[in-house]
Amino acid sequence: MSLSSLDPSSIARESLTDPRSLDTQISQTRHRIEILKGWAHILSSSPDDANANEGDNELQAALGKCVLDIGCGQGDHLAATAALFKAQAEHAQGADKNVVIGVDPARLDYGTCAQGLCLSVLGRPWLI
Amino acid sequence: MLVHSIYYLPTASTFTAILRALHASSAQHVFLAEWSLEASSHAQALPHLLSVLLQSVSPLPEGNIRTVLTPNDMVALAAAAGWDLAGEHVIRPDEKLADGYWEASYAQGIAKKAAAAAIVVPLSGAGQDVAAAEETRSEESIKQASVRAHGHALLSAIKALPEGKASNTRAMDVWLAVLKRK
Repeated sequence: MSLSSLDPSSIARESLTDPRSLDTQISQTRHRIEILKGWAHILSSSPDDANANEGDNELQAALGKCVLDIGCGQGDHLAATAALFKAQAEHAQGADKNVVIGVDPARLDYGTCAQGLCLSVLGRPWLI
Repeated sequence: MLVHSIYYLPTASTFTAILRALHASSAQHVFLAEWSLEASSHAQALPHLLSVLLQSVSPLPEGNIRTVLTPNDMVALAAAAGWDLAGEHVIRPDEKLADGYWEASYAQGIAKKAAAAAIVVPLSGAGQDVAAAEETRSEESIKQASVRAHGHALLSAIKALPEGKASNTRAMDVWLAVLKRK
């Protein structure tokens, strides 16, 4: 499990349908990864440790097998979380597949990538 | 998890209702991420903060900001819904994160409109005694003054940015929290 191995560029490319805004999408994705790292920092059992993987295992345990993203918008955080789950599954071969589900009352044409995300290969993000 | 989605909620009670519903489910943790309302770590984040405050008083019809809750508000509302704070943390976003610029652009329109409109002075209160002036003090007059003041502060903060451009606005710090069941 490896938050530090997540690559904003490749996640942004996989989740975006409009290549003109790729730079913006990469910044958004980088921010979402920093949020995941921040939560890992909060949960870390050794927060003073200058370890790059600080809190990774604690975050994995707290997220559990099914994550609900409430107000997912165009799915930026879905994509980052799905990429994290995918990295975990590759690390622990044969592990159960985790699921991240996004819900949002906005129209499906809000933003630029939500529908593309439904079809992407990033883990199993679902949009409702 | 609720990630930059809390300001979109129609009211604070929607936040409480969501947290109660989650408490009634099998969820063990709730993860929050929202703007911290702190621009102290970077002067270029001030227009973002002022844009949020301006829109909290004068929301745009299709805007991103409808209900501004402070980190303390969110912790208190969560506690009432059965969730304890496991921990919190503040991060400073990368300078390329465009959210501060986007909000400053939207709010700039409200600020310019407010500045261009003539200030309305109720005639009945002018030049009369204090008691008569107090009577003209209404929700609407208080809101108008607040929008003008926030708008002025926003436009001044944008002017103080490098090259005076809103595009040089930085995103303010982000508050992160993890909640666990009581």
